[in-house]
Amino acid sequence: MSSDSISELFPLLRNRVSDPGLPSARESEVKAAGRHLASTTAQSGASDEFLLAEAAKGTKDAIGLLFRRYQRVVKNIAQRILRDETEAEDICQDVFVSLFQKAHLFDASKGRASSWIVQIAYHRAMNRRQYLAHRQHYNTQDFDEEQIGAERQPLIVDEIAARDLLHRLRNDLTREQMETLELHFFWGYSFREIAEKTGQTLGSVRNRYYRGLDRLRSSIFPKKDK
Amino acid sequence: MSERIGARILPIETLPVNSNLHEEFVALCAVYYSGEISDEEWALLQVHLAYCDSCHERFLEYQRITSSAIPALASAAASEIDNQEPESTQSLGAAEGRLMSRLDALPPNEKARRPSRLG
Repeated sequence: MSSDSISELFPLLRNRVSDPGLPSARESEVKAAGRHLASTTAQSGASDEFLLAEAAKGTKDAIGLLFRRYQRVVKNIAQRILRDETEAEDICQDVFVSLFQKAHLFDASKGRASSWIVQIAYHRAMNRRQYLAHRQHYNTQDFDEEQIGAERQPLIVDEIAARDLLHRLRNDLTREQMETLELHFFWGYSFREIAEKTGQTLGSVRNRYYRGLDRLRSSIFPKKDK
Repeated sequence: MSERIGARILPIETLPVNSNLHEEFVALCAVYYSGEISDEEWALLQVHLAYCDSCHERFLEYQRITSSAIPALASAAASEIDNQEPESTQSLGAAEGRLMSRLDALPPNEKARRPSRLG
């Protein structure tokens, strides 16, 4: 996984690519980092995984550094789903408080810290959206942070694969299927809202969602395809 | 097809094994993770999952997709169009300050287990 490709995917993370094998010599660097670090410090070489390990020991400044690295990524996800800057800001704060509380659950053998942060951000934003919209239940019991952190299986799609997969899906799915998946998963719209937006029946939206998601499933788990 | 998937109630007497319904359960496995499944459908799906290995496997695949692949895809899509103004050092510092205040305010048992022994 090259740092160039990471940079393309997350331009903001340029020069901040993680190295899980970072030596503990970085510890003094984190310790030295004050509350209000100069922006250059946020680009220091301490890996995300190392910072989470530090946070698990109670080092708040490690969360401060992660905040500087990822607050924009988190806010972008939340802003899209919630379409409200204040709400997105609040989710962003909640995500990093949660990271501090749950850092001990992080298991670097299951995937990168950045993927974990994105997962938590996404599911929190969807929860909030559901709460605000009084939609039918989003099945969050399957995605609480304990589960994401402690029992999760190895990640099936990392950041690089996600970008490729997104392009592939846009080619493989019908426009309507892709639109339905994007509106639902990326923008947080309920099926009913999608039906209203697109002038389709609810059954048609549901069908497009299922067909699109099944294509996605087939591309991630090809051997299971009949 | 779509209207059948969207049907609110499937007659219970058609269970447990009906190849036509199997297709609908396959669809319900996916719909479950949208949160837009009715209580009746969920009840029927649970019964089906108890004895249909292929649906159960599929159900777990959708769970993994929704748990980790969808967030990664959503982030990739969000990063394509990043319209946000670059955060000023000042506002970033203020946001970080708020975060640190919240971390400081956590009750002791909520804080990480033990203090860092660094330095």
